[in-house]
Amino acid sequence: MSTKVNRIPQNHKPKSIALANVRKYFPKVERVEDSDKPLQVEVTKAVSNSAAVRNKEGCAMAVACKRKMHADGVLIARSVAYIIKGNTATRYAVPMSAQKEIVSFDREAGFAPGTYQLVPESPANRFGEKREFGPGKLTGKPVRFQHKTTGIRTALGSDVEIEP
Amino acid sequence: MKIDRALIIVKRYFPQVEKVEDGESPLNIEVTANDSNSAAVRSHASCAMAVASKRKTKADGVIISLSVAYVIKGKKAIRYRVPNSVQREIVSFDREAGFAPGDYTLKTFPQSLRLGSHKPKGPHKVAGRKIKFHYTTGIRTDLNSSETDAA
Repeated sequence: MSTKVNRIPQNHKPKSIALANVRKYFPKVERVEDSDKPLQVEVTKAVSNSAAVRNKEGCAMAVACKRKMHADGVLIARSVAYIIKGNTATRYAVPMSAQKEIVSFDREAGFAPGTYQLVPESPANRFGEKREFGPGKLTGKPVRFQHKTTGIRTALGSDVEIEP
Repeated sequence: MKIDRALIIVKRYFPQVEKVEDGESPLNIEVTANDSNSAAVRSHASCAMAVASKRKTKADGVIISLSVAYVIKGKKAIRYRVPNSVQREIVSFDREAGFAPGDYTLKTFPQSLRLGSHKPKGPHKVAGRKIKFHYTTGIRTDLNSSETDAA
């Protein structure tokens, strides 16, 4: 028996969904684009102490990014980050080293001070990259097991988000 | 990775081990709240994941580092890859913020990273920009480092 899969793969969400996610926090944003260069951010101890846990706009990484980029706002989710300047949001991928610190920080175990990088999305995951996924039939192997990390900030697209 | 090097690492914790091989199928592990509470932080051999893995596999011992896990049965150690979801929990656990109970998987290594698959790739000339690495701190030591915790 086969089942039709209707959901969009996580890494290939169209630009409109990204824009909708960003607008929940920054309604004046009109454009979302991918970054072209990595961004190095220094997270200091003072920033780590002054920041708010489980808060995409006020976590240690967000505060450090905002300061470095003189941005109007920053959104740091677990695997994606947006830097808002005027009506444009620039998207970066959050590498594993920063993801580990985010989980630790959200569970109130601190964000280790140091230099981190936000990196451009890989070419296959950039906006406008359309990939055909075939008929989406599930056959053969069972659905891949996925573990969801808990006790941290909500996913950017989820329904249970806190109002900005 | 060379088999000899993996064996040296494992023998530091379990001297009786004589052979290291790669796991052939993923290993599903359930970590309970009890495991999390009874386990020791920054310890490769007795963290929450190690305690749960040992119970599930009925192994003589388990070593869980940030990216590699070894399950010891008799004189044999079976190597698994630690996925990102577990790595995040390990960092949280080692910083005393808990290991979230739930189902986790220890994965098998892809063909190119399996023991004995190392292929020399040329003279390794250093050219261009140097890659910057971030090292996660406040967690267990690297298995390769000279500092080890007690097994």
